[in-house]
Order: sequence, then C-alpha cells, then structure tokens
Amino acid sequence: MNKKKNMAIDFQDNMILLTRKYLKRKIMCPETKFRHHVKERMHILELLKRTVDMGESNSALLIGPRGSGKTTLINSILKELSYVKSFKENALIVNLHGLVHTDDRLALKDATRQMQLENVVGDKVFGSFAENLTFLLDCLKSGDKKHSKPVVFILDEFDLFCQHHNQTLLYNLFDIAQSAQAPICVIGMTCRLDVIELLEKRVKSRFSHRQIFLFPGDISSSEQPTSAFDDRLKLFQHLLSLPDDENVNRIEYQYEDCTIDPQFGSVWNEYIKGLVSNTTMVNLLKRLYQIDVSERSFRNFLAIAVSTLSEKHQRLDVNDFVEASKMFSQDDKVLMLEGLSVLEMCLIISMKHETEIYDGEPFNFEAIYNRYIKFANQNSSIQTVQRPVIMKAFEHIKNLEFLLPVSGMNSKVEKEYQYYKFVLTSQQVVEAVKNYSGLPTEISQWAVTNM
Amino acid sequence: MTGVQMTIPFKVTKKCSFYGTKNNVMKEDFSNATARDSSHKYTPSVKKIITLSSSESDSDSDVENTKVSDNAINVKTPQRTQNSTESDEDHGSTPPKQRRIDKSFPLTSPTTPSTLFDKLNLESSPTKEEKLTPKRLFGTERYRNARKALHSSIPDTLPGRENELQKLEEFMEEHLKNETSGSLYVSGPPGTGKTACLSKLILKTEFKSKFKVIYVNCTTMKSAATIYAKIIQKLGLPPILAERKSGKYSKGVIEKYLSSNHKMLLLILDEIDQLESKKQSVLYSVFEWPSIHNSKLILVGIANALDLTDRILPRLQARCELKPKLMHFSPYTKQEICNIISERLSEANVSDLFTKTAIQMLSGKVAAISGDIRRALDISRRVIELAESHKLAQVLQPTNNNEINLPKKQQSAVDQPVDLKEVITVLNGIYGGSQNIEKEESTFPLQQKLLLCSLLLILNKGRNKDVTVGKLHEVYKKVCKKRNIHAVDGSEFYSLCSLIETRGILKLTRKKAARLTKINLEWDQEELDAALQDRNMMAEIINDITCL
Repeated sequence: MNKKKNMAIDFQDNMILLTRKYLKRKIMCPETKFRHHVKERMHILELLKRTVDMGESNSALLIGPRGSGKTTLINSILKELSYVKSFKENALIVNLHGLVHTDDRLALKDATRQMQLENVVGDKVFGSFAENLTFLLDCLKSGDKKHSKPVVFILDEFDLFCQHHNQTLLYNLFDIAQSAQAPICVIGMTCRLDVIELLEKRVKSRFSHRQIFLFPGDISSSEQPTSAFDDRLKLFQHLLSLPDDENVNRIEYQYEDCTIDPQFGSVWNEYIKGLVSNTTMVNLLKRLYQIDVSERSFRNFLAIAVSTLSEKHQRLDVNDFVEASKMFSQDDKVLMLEGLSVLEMCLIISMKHETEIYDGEPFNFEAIYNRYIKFANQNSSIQTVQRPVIMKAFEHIKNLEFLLPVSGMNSKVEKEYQYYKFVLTSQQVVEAVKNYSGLPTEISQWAVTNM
Repeated sequence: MTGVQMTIPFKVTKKCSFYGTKNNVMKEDFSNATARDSSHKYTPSVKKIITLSSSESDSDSDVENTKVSDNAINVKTPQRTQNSTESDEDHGSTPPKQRRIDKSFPLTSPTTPSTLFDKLNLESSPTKEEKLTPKRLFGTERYRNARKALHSSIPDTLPGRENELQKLEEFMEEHLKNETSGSLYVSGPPGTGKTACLSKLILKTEFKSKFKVIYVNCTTMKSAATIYAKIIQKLGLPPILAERKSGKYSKGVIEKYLSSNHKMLLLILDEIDQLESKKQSVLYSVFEWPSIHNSKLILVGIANALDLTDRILPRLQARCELKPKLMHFSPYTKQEICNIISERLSEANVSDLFTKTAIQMLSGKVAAISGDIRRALDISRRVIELAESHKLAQVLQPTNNNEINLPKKQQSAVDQPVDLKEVITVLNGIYGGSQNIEKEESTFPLQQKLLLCSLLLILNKGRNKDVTVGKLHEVYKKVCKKRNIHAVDGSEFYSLCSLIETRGILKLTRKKAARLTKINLEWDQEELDAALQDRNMMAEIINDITCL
C-alpha cells in the first residue's frame, strides 16, 4: 500500500507518455547490439576483416529462419567495423535486396551506382545492361589484390537472386571471388535451408560452401549458460526497463527528446522486476515461447502491451499482457462466424452435417438447400425464406472463403451444382454457435446433434 | 552546340550507408573533363604486371595503335582493345563531339555527362579506386601464405592436366602449321581445370604472337544474339551503327571478316551452353564459321555437358568438316587432388601445415563425390582457417586433423562424383563413342556409381518404376548403410543427380520441390547393367533386394 502511494506521487502524466515513447522505441527498433551467436558473428567478422586487410576474396551464406536476426547480425558487424579506420576508408559496401532488385539489370544498375563507377553521374547510370555488366566486370577484373579497394556485396533474400535468368549475376560475382582479381566478399542472406539446391552446378562449384546457420533460441555461445526460456525472461526484463542512471541516456541511446527522471526509472524497474517473478506472467510467457521462439513476434507482443499505457492507465498489469496475448492466440475464423446472420449460420451448420455424414466429400448448393429446408420444415419457429435469398446467403459464405470450389473458378457448371469443399472444422462451428448471442435454441441444438 | 549551361537535375536518392553520407559526386566539377581529379575516382595510369587471369584478352598487334593518349597503360582489359581503335564513327549517328576545350567557356558540351560516358569508351580504361597497400599482419604469416597458396587463382603449373595440355597444344600447332580451320568442344564437370588449361595455353609466347586470341565468357551475354556484337568489338572492327544493330547484320560483318585476308584467329567461347536460342541458330552459325573458305579460325567451346554437341546440335553430324573434335576433362582423382594440394603448399613453404594423412583424407572425400578442385581448395582453406583460429601448434597432429577435417567436411556439402566406367559404357552404347571404358573407369566417382546402382536396383527389382529423387535417396541410404559408406544428404544427393545428368545417363524432369523430381534413365538399361556388373560390389548392390 505504502509503495502504491509513493508511485502515485511520482507518476506524472508527462512521465508516463515519455516512458511509453521510450519503451516503444526500444522494442520496435532493435539496437545493433547483437546478443547471441558469438561464434557465427566472429566467423563473418573475420571474413570481412580478411577481405579488407589482406585482399582475400570470399563468399558465404547466412541461413536461418525468418526473424532469427540475420540482418541484425550483419548490421552490428558493419557498425563495429565502421569504427575501424582502415575498413572505413578502404571498403566499399554494396547492398542488394532480392525483393527490390528483381532482375539482374536492376541489380547491376544499383551496384554500379553504389560503387560510384565512372559511368555514374550523380545518381544516374548510363548505358545498357550489357554495357554495364561488361564495364563492372572490367572494373573488377582490372583490379588486383594490391591496389584496388575491396568490395563487400551483401545480398539480402539471396534465394530470389537464384531465380534470375541463368543466374548471370551470381555466376559473375562468384567467379570474381574465385579468381585473382579485385578482392570481393559476397555474403548472401536467406531463410531457405535448401538454398544450395537452387544454384546451378557451375555457380555452385564457384561458391565456397561456407554456410553459416542461425537458429533462434540457440544460446549455446552466450556468456553464462542458462536455459533458453530464462534468456527470454531476461530479455523481457531488459526491454521493459527504463534507464535509472544519469549517464545511460547519453551512452546507450541518443534520445534527446526522451529524458526520463532516473528516480522514476528505478521505481519503474523495481516494479518490472516484480512482474518477472509473478507466476501468471511467467506461465503466459512460457506459453508464448512454446508457440514461437523468434524474437520478432515477442517484440510485437510487448509493443501491444506497452501501447496500453496512458495517463489514465499508469502501470502495466499482468492483465494487460494477458489481453495482448489473446490477440495472438484467438481463432479469427470463429470470430468471422460470429458475425454471420442466423440464416447463414444455419447453412454453415448444414454444411457441417453434410461433410460429417459423407466424410469430407464435396457438396453443392442443392444438397445444402435440401438439408436446410428439411430442418426448417420440422421446426415451426424457423421462418422459411425463399430460395433466392438462401442462394444469396450461400454466395456470401462463399465470398468469405469458408468454401473452396473443387474445380477452378471458371468452370462452366451452373452455380447451384458447382461442387465445394468446406474448410472449417466442426469444432470451430460448434464453438461459434456457443458464442453466438441470440441464436434460437433449436438451431444451437441442431448444431450439436448428429443426424 | 549551344553555349547554354546544361544542368542535369537528377533526383538524388541517398542510400543510407553505415558511414553516413557517400562521397558527394554531384558536387564534382566536370568543367575539366580530360584532366580529372584523381583524389578518389580515377587514376590515369596503373602500371600493372600482367597477372595470369583467365579473362584478360591480349591486345591485338595487327591493329594499328593510332594516337592513344600518352599514358601507356598496360591494363589489358577487353575495353582496351576497343580503345586502341579510336575512330570518330563510334558515336553512331551523332556527329563527332568537339574535343576542343575552351577555358573561357567551361560550360560547353564537353562537360555534359554524355561526353563523360563517351570518353569512357574512348580514352579511359576502367580502373578501380585505389587504396593503400594491404596491411602486413604479424604472427599469422605462415597461415596466410598457406591460404594464399590454396586460393583458387590459376597457378603457373597445372599438375594432373599434362595430357590434356599436350593434346590441346598438338591440336593448335597442327592447325597453325597448315593454316587450316578447326573446331574443338571441351567438356567436363565444373572445377576440373578446363578454363585454366586454355588460358594457360594462350599465354604461351609462340601462340601469343601467331594468333589473334578472343576469349568470351558467354555468361555475361544478355541474350544469345549479343555474342556477335561482342566478337566484333573484340576483333577491333568498327562498331555497328545503332540503326543496323541486328544479329543478322553483325553476323554478316563477322563472316565477311573471316573470308577476308587476316591473321590466324583463335576464338574461345566459355560456358557455350548459355548461347542456346530458338532452333539453336546461334550455335549452329558459330560452329559453321570454321568451314568458311580461308577463314583460318580455330573455335574452342567450353561447357559442362559431355553430350552438348550431340544433344542440341544434331545437324552438325551431317557434314564431316563441321564435326567438332571432342575433348573431355574428367573429374580429378584422389591422387591428383593430393598432388595439387601438396604442390601448392610446398611452393609456399608451408607444407608442414598439413600432414599427409589429412591431405589424403580430404582429397579422397572430394574425389569420391565430384572431383571438383575448387571444392577441395575451399575445404583445405577452411581447415587452415580453423587451425588458425584454434591457435594450434604449427604442425597439426593427425588426431587433431581428424577432429578438424571431419566436422568440416560434413558441414560443407560434399559433391557427387560420376563413375566414369558406367558413363563411358553408356556413352559407347549411345554415341558409338570414341572413349574406352577401361581407360576412364577409374575417374568415375564412387558416390555416383552407388547412385546409379541404386537406380538400377529399383528399375530391375522394384515394383514401382517411376523413380523420384526422394525415393532413390532412401534406397541409396540403405545401400550405403549396409556397406558402411558415408551417405551424402538430400541436397547434395540432388546435385549428384544433376551432375550425372550432364553425362547424359539420366534425365531429370524438374519439379518445384527437389525431392519430387522424376528421374528417367536415358541410356540403355542393359548396357549400364553390364558396365556396372563387372565390379563385385556394384553387382552385389544391383541384386540386393533387401535395400528396397
């Protein structure tokens, strides 16, 4: 109680808004401070250093599932190297992205621009594709280990570069890396584990087969050995804590517009520490961790929870986190079902019965219509409506994609006789019926009885 | 030309780089375009020793070097050959630009970027930005030397390829002596030294003086027809005007040149299978050039597929004089890889970094899978790196070696070898081939033999005759397990299949997922059977129903 009073005094409205701003920044913009995978990081760092210092050419692939921190790893390495004078002055970095540079022509133009070659004036590149390619290659070939600047090519979404025509760009890059020409280092990032299979054999032979795998939740290389989940708890605490030291602000983040009173910060941090030891909280985090180990989804979850802070709501309770986690675990199909009309609900139930009885065989409108009419005739309370109205309801269900046509969309069959598959499970239908407010009793009974 | 100032309003989109902003080239002053500022963009001359790099063509001595600018640049890039013919017709239909720069009018046409771009083709040879000499590091000198020695740049000697070199040399000399034309098709899996052999050959002095050499790597072509323009450019002929830039016209220009009086010409087309086009018209016309009267052209095509000339160019068989001579580079054997690695290490005086057994082990593994020397060198370089990072003693103990090599090798995808024996048999069965199985038998890698045996086992004894890669892999794994051989994993297995495909034994019908790719046997099943049945182990596998 005593503490609560204290908090109330210390909490100023302005302070809460600042806190929210600070925390959201911290959560949504991962700092280029890399946390685990020390070995992998060292490997790439060494590669780049050797390329720049000794003029060796190398190629490597960085492979890991989405959200495992591949880009963060590269960024943190480049940031560290940018403080090294020799690297900063000598290395040229060319960033290419498979989603942006969808063919070799675009990729080449951009590479030429980033290397500031001589056919670049301002930001415009002159010449056709073939000219650019030969020019770029001549530039790289006329260089040698002694005199030319090393170039670091970073290819994001590497698997998309494999779909280019003849893999021309990849072939040429790897070929230069293999021969005694200007030192280049090619680093590809991808989330496909079978990316090597996409390469043509001649490209594959030129690639050095350095594959570096990143798996999230692998913290074997961290300083003190802990379980993976404990690490997640630590991250939780770290992301939600405020700077409680005068100097932290200046050292770690240059947020001039986010100065938080250190006294307030320490009170807040105490409170967050209490949260971590709360069993409900821990269980919730565990459940989330079992669903998804990647850090990105965890950060999204925290961002939703932090967004609830406001002048009226000055503290993060366990409840807020529970609410936020519901967003990640609710079934959207059931929610959609709850928004249907009673007639549409009846049709859905008919479909459920139809698929149960005939064991997943596809059905058409006629079958569903007959089943519904049979039910409506037995129960006086259900109004019978005309056939076109029911057809309309059926079409509406089809547009919500609860039904999938068995043959293609453009089949010549009349729409009443077109065959469909039902994509909901009967469990989802039953749950939706349970949650539906104001559904007549006969209908809800009809849903659970098996004909 | 007007004297109006031409400003170029480009939208500058600055990419966020890690070093803040880039050198702002926009601010550069182009008013003095001939003597450019050499601080960070361009250095007028680089005295460069000619390195043995496969891609550098030689300057042609039969073309007169007209007024080349006085800086004697020795950079022999392909661009140079064009530079040496400085003609004002280069600009297509535009009138020649005025070269006179008047200091009082610094803003006339020579300052526009387009002139800069024209100059690029005329006077300046592309040189990259210079940097300081590489740093010397202490301590790790020996490791670095070893790494340098094992890099895949082309060495002075090519151990294990003496026969091929001799054959190539004889072929060239014969044609040179009689001044006749000929064509040669060199095939082999990637990493068997095809390009290295040829580039070594053309650097030989006696050929250098007598030939005009043109080397084109066809992967740099955007489409097949652009090859003509490239060859014209390399021949040093005047470029085609823009309005007549069709493949047909440029082809005519080349053929006209070939029938005229000229020096002996050696045309090397690397990765020639990139030139596949509709009805193979480009490839056919290229292969028909040597038959032009008085053409004095030696054509050398390089590609991976052994049967390219038979598969996509069947019409060449009809006329004897067009039939290219075939030459195959087989994958390196264990002994050859051993020799190459040891030789490179001893040249760098670091041969004690590797024990004999380590090299044996490494080369055995690579030879059993693909015989790709690039892979062997890559793996060995990585072993060195690892040793360096572990700060091991100078000499690796054999026990340590196993610890180092084994995990490394399992990490690096190991390649598929092709068993020459079956391959050659099959080749003989299909093409009435020129090669003998007995001679080539030993060069077909073990894992590829196993793969073919597993395939035959399914085809002979299995019930289901349509084979997918996934299914074959399961059978193959059982076969390997039974015989205590290390089985390669799925993705490597897939690339083994595609390597065998280049020999023409298999045909893969690609699906989106690699595992579902269907495998069809192209060769006569009984022929292949007979070829494999000679060897005890293979015969056992083919008849081993338990693995199905």
